[in-house]
Amino acid sequence: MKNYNEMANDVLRRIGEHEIKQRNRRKVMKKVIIPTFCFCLVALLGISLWQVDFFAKKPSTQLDNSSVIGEQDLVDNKDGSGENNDTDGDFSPNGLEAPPSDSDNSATSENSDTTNSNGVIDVIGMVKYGGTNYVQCSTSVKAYTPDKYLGEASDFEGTYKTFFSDVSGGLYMTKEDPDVLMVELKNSEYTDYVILKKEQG
Amino acid sequence: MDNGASSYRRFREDGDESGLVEIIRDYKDGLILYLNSFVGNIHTAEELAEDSFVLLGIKKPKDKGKGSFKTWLYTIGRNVAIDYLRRNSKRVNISIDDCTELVSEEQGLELAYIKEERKITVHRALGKLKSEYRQVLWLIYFEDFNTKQTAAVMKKSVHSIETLVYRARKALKSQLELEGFVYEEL
Repeated sequence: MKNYNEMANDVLRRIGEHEIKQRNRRKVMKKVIIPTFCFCLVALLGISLWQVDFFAKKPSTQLDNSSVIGEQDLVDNKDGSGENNDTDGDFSPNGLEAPPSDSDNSATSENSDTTNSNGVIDVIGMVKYGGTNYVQCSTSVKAYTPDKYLGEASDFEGTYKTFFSDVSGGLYMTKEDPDVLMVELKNSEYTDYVILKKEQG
Repeated sequence: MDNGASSYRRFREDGDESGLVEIIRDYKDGLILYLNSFVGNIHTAEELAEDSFVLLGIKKPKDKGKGSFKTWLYTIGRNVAIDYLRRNSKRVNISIDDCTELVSEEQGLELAYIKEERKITVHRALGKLKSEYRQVLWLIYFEDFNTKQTAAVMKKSVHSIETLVYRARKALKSQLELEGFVYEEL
């Protein structure tokens, strides 16, 4: 049998050992848990970003000369009225908002590709008809009425050669001005018009 | 005299180890003998008493002050003993030599703790009773616990303890009579 002093010593020794063990365990937990927690956090973040397609490639709008896509800026006009809701005359079929266009620039430059703030290239529509270039301008569509149908815009030289598969573009003369042509952009959801003016000089 | 509560508070709140040493000094023998009435082996009882003090030192449970410190300590000891019995449900065989040693050590401890010759005889007779009878009689006649305190330690109702004491006394009386001893207080 132990006397009280021996027992007290044993008890205090065991308490000390237990405290050391606890301290070591806490150290190990810190070493393991913090990196594990960080890893899990990063993994969760990665998974959540992956879920929202953060890493998916943005649709490439870089166009080369051989496959110039026609009018890219199409306004979403579901009532088919042909009215342009965009005040600057630019339309965005892919939901990409085009920057305000410079009308002088668009009227005079055949290769007038401009890069907007999103890095998306806007192509100004152009058609060669009767040996003359007609370039898209920002004049209001309401000012003109389509008249004689000239054919599909894609049949003519210009930026409408290659078109979106689901959009048709009929080329018309206008009643009001012989130097102005209209392209009727049409698909199952909307109809819209683009005004093309005869290129000066 | 707060029966160790202040010593424990000193140990728990100020980390004063002498507080725990004082508790061990004051309660070691009584706790061992109580646990012996529980497990029926003085060495195991000693280990369990030590475990109870270690538990006090590690977990530092808060004495809610509902009863006396001694009652609370004995309750902890009893819980430790119950855990031990659960873990070691299979009985361990003890050799006759060990048995003799155990008996002599127990006798030494009871001589030191109980002191009175008459009470020592009663304590020896207690060893032949059921564990529950041993416990209740130990707490009431040797530790001077009242029925309420005994009920708290043994986790029974006061009424159950009263019944248990009545039966235990009866059993002890028969045992003492068998041994040719008459104890008038029973």
